Amino acid sequence: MSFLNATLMFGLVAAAIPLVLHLISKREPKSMPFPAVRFLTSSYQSNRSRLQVRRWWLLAMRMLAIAAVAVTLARPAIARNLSTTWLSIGIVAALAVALLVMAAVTYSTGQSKKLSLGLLASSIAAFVVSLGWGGVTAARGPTLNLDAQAPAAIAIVIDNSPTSAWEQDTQSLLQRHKTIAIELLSRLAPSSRVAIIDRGPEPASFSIDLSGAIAKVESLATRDIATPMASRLDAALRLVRTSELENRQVFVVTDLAESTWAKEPGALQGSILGAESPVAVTVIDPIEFRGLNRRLGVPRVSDQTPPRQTPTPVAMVVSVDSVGETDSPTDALLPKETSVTVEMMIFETDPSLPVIRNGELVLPKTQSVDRTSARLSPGQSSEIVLRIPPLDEGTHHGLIRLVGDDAFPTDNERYFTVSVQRSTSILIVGDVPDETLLIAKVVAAPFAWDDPNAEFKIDRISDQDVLATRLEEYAAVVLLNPPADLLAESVLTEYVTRGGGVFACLGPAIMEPPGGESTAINSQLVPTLVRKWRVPDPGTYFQTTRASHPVLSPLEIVTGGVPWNQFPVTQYWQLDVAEGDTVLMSYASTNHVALVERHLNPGKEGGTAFGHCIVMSTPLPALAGSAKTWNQLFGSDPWPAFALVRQVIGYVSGRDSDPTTTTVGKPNIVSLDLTDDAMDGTETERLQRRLQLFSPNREQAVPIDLDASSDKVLVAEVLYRGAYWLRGDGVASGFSANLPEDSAITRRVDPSKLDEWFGTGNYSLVHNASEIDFTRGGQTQSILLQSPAMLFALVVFLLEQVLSNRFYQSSVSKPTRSTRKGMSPA
Amino acid sequence: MVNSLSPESLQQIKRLDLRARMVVRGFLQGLHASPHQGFSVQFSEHRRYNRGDDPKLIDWLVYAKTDKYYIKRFESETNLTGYLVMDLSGSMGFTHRQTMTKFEYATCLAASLTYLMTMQQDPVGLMTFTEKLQAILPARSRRGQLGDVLAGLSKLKPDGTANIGKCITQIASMLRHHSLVMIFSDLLTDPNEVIASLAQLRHGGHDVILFHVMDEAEVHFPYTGNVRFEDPETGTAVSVDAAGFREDYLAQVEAFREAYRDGCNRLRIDYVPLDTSMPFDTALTEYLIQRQNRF
Repeated sequence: MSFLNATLMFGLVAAAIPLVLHLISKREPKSMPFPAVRFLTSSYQSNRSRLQVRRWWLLAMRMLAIAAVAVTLARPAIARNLSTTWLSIGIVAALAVALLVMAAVTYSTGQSKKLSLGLLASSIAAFVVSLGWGGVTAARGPTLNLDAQAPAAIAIVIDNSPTSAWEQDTQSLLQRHKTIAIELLSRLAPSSRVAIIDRGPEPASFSIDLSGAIAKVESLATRDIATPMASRLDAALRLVRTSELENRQVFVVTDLAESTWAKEPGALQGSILGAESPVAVTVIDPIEFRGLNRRLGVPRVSDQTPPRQTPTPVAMVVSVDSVGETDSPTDALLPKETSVTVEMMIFETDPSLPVIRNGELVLPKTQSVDRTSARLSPGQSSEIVLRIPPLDEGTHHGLIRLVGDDAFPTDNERYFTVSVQRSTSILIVGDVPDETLLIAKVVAAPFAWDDPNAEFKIDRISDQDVLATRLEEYAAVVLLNPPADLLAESVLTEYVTRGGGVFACLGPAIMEPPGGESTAINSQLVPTLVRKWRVPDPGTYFQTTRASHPVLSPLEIVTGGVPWNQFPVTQYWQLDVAEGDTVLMSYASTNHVALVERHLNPGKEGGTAFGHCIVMSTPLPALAGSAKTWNQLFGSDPWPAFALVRQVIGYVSGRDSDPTTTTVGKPNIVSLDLTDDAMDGTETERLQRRLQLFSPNREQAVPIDLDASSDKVLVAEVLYRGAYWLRGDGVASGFSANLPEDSAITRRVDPSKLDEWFGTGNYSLVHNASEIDFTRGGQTQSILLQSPAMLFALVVFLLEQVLSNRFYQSSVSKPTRSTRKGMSPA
Repeated sequence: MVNSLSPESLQQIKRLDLRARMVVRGFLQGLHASPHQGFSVQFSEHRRYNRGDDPKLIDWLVYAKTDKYYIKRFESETNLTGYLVMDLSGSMGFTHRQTMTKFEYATCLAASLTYLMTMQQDPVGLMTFTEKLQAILPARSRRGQLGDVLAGLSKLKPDGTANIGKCITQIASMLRHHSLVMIFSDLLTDPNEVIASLAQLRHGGHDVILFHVMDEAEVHFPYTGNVRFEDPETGTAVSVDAAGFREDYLAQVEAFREAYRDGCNRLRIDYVPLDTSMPFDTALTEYLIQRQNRF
């Protein structure tokens, strides 16, 4: 047994006060003449013994009450593992008291003296046993580290994930978390080791001193991208365990949001239980989410590289959630239906902006371009569509925001970037005009194929005209059912080597040599053709092999998947893929390649970023002649083939190379739209080219040095949501980043979920800093006996009251029996 | 009326005769319609003889003058001789509230009774006792007797111890005629002894009224805390926790009074338990009831 405030045990001395008062008051009785003494002496002996017993009990009660209060104030604690022993000691002591009471009763009622002496002796024996046992237990038991002022190794994990931006009662959760952390720090002994760990990726380390820790807490801001809580907790536990201090604790100040805690904790439990030196974990959960939140989903821009002067629709989901308890009084005030206004803003194009001026990021002005409203009840969501207005060539950043404030401002703004490019020239080569026209229409949709505003400027020629055409003028060449000799043309190979893109759909135009030999095509563009396969009815179909490829990734998000099995392929060329080729699609239940990408001169100095050929081993659109029997990709409702063709052509022409709107946390590649001026100049000048990256929430622009050959920039740290601007001489590009929709789920997990994380009983959950027990982190867990001691003191005090009230009855007596007995009124 | 007869108000009147007169006048005012007014007064009247009257009662002198038969009524004299017996032991001088001692209360009561009795032309005598019977004022009904008794009463001072039983026995042997013996005492001695001696008095043919005068504090025991009680007569001292003893004490006092009440009932003695907070009319009423029973 130990005491938190051992010095207050001196209060036990006060227990002597009743004894002293008793002795003092006993010394001088009032002397009084009284003739009727004979009535007192007759019952003097029996009464005196009874009164004496009562008086001793009263004295004992008063001393015990004061002693109990002193012990309560000293805050006794016992080791948790010895609680059963202490309980047994308490029972023996209670038995001793009971025996003493019985002895007193027998003595005062004048029963057998032997009996009362026997009871007294048993009581004393029981007292001696309990005292001895208690003494031995206290002496042999573990020492409890109860000193709250003892130095401790403490890690405070502050949850500054996106949900911590939730605002309630004019204060954000993060501010509350920080207040709690600072209160915790202020209660620590000055020599404690403290680590402040947030949800960032920085390695965990102890602060130099408490003021450093406080400064770190104060500098914390909400992070858009949060490192998983499990890894931060793991880091915190490992860190405090490295300390030599005995009292090791980890405090987690969190909002218990689902986005943080619903995940699996991994090996965290092991790191709490498995190690030899346990660490006390305290989870502080200050407040529950409550309020009305309007949420804006991630915008889906229908075309991130729209053609000039063409409006582009952007779709997104707007929803309204009532978060927290529904029966709270504030909810009654919530309107049943809320009007939600969504506004689209576009940053104006200003070549001199953004810029860092006086340490602040100055962005171009925004211009409101579209706005729409919806009426939603809590729990409802609605899909809305806004339109990006026709824009000039270049990269344009925009944001979509909900008008008005709510409890969670983080999900009220979404960003997007579109890159309006000049129309790209492509060449479609094919002997069947209907087929080339169909592909041209597919590529140019929704415009007419020869519309000047369309994304692509399309030329259609036949196979024999290829040699007479300047292929350099085109960004991509589409070969529909090319003959073998066309594929072997060096013009095409050179074209690809210089950076052109080719999409070749092999078909019946390539003749299969008799005798089953491999079809020899002297071409670097296509893999070696092994043989032609005929698949009996119902044929085979496409199967995606590399879903993450830019060509296929948009198809992957289609709900339910693409029903390729409804578009059978009955004939195809078996291709022998070489090393370095990327197989994008294959035929079902075979390893035969359906769609393959080949890079020419990969890694060659001076080569361009693209310069690749995508080969499909069955013809498109296979509508005419012998090709008709090869597949039904353009059969009824051929939207998969339609989308695939657009994707492939967009990809090979370099138009859809990189996404311009991404999510926070993912590295992003920005293709530089190099102007001719930028490409000019000497090599030295180009080497000196430097770009600046302006990130949101940053007060400095990040310089990026580019070598002459790069036309892509990898931005690895996309930490905050917002628009990223890439500026330099001749370059004005960038992208936008949004929070993933599942990164900020303001629903709370059930507190029992923490059992999965830490194991039942391995942690304590409190709701404010005052409930925290700093003494838990030692080797031995302790049980504070303050409350039972307080209860005991109260019971003793009540018993004292009962006893003393019986003792000193009110002196106002009822009138004695009438002395007029037997008299009649005169 | 009760207020004017309360010990507190009478205490303000110093002269015992005035005090006694006050008590009796106040008391009699309350009894203005009482049928007791005429008894014991020496009175006679004549009325015409009717058949059935005792011929012995015919007043022959009137017959001689008027030649008609008249008979005489109430020619007999009162014959109630009263003795006031005062306990002069030290315990009678006790008072808790320092207003009126038991003895003063008893004296006042005795004076009032003397006054009342002399008004009725009854002879009154006074006796006091401590260890033995002391001053004796013989019972007379002459005019100066009231003054003698009151003077005797006012001179008395309680002191020493008392032997009640022995003294009552002495009185019993001393009195020749049927008398009314009024004893004023706190009776703080063995009840059996006192009752035995009272029995002797009764066997002597005397009527007895026992005024058991106790102090208010002796009856109600208003003490608290640790108190050392000393008997002024015997010097016995006992230290007790007064509040703790109170219950037992009251039971003892009640048993003590009950013992006297039982004994007196057996002997047809009027037992009047009094304490110093009670008005005097109680005592006077008791006396008058006694007289009524006699006639």
